[in-house]
Amino acid sequence: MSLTEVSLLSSSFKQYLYKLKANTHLINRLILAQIMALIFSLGGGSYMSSGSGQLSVSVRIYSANLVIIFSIIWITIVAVLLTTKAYKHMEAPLVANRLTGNLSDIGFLMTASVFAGITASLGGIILRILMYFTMGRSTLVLNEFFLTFSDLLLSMVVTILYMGLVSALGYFIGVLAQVNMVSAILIPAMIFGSQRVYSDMPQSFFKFYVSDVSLPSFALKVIITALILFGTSLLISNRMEVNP
Amino acid sequence: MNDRGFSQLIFLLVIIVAVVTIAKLVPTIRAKISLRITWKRSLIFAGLYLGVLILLVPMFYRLPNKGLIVLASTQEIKQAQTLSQNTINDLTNLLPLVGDMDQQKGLYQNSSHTFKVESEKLALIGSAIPDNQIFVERKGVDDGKVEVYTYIATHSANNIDFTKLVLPSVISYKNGTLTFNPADQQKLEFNRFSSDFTVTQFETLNKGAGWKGMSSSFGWQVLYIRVPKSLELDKGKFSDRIRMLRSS
Repeated sequence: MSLTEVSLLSSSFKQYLYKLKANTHLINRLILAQIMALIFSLGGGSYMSSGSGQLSVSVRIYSANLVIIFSIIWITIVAVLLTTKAYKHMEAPLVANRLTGNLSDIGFLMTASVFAGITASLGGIILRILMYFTMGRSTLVLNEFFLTFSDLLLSMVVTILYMGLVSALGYFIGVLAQVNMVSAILIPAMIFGSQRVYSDMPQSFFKFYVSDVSLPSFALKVIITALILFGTSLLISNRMEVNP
Repeated sequence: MNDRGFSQLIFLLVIIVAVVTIAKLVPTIRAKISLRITWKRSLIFAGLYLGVLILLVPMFYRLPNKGLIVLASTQEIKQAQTLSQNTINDLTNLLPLVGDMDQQKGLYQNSSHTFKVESEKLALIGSAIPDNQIFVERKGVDDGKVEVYTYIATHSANNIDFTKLVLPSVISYKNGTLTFNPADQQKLEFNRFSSDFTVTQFETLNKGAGWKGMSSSFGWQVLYIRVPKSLELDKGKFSDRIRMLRSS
């Protein structure tokens, strides 16, 4: 029993290291996506203006949200990609089964989430530095410009958690699509369909995570949801081995 | 279309041209790049990227914050508005002010002019300035000088107090005529950085949900004119807008 567990873990770890090497090109795409998001963010987000007589005042608000959103989109694509046949063929040179393959995928996704989470949060720093040197200081509002170090760490932790959650969801959908393309289309269709009947449901589901103002509670929700999604993906994927 | 809109359009066109060009070159580029991209190079690239980002953090915290705009609290803005309104009300009701005009809180003097008057009559002309209050005070002496001061009450937009940036009315004197016109068109642009949604999510209770819209306040503009004791005034079309103060 013990020997089996060790071999499962060591096999998964070997595959994880192998996938880290094989999928490093995906990181290049993340970096490109983040640089693109930074360029777009330099144009500013919301814009408000007001005027009276000869005087008009406008306020442009900048944020690094786009860098995080682009990174979330990237991890979703990566999570789905990992479940595709082309990527599964990469496991062929190694002694593996579906379980070790999936565990190594999850390991890779978690590593990618941590890297993307840290770099996306630090993207806000680049944006601030660029703004500082390109815009007149007399037009720049101090408040919230110098985010505290604790806020920077908070941003990293929360972004990593969001990445983990979204990657679990992407992986789950990817696995579903591998089992049966119909179910992969049917489930999102059911979700959108239920939105029409119960219009508050998706909003409540979204709010369940986004409206949580307590970090421990949010982290717990995300971890549990990700575990459920990854766990279900493992179960479905293992079933595929029995009934391919 | 303003300059910013035009530059954004140009930027969009450049992006479209770049995307089309890249799309045409992608197969060739991909083939060449894939030969050069090895996992080691990708790893080094990722490491460098992360390294640069991390190195920027201490640099960012060393940036001087001098010269950046500090937001005023809503309470401070309201208080300044109330104080300026009280001063204007007191002047309108001919009530004595506590201290000089310069000492009135909530009012900021943005220009002052002194003109030497040779004639015995002073005509007031110019364009109507919106939100403008004109107060004229006769001095106790005939010193042959007309003193014109412009003051403005607190101007703010989303807690950015830009009172000191507002251009004063254009005032000139020639041949016994004092002319005042609104300042040239002025556009003020401010840039504010907002925390990421990953941070604001946990600050909703503490700091508020952020800006939901534009909240601006354009205060009064006050023209305070001090004229010699026996100078005759021709108020012209401003007769109903001029408030004569008691002589000092």
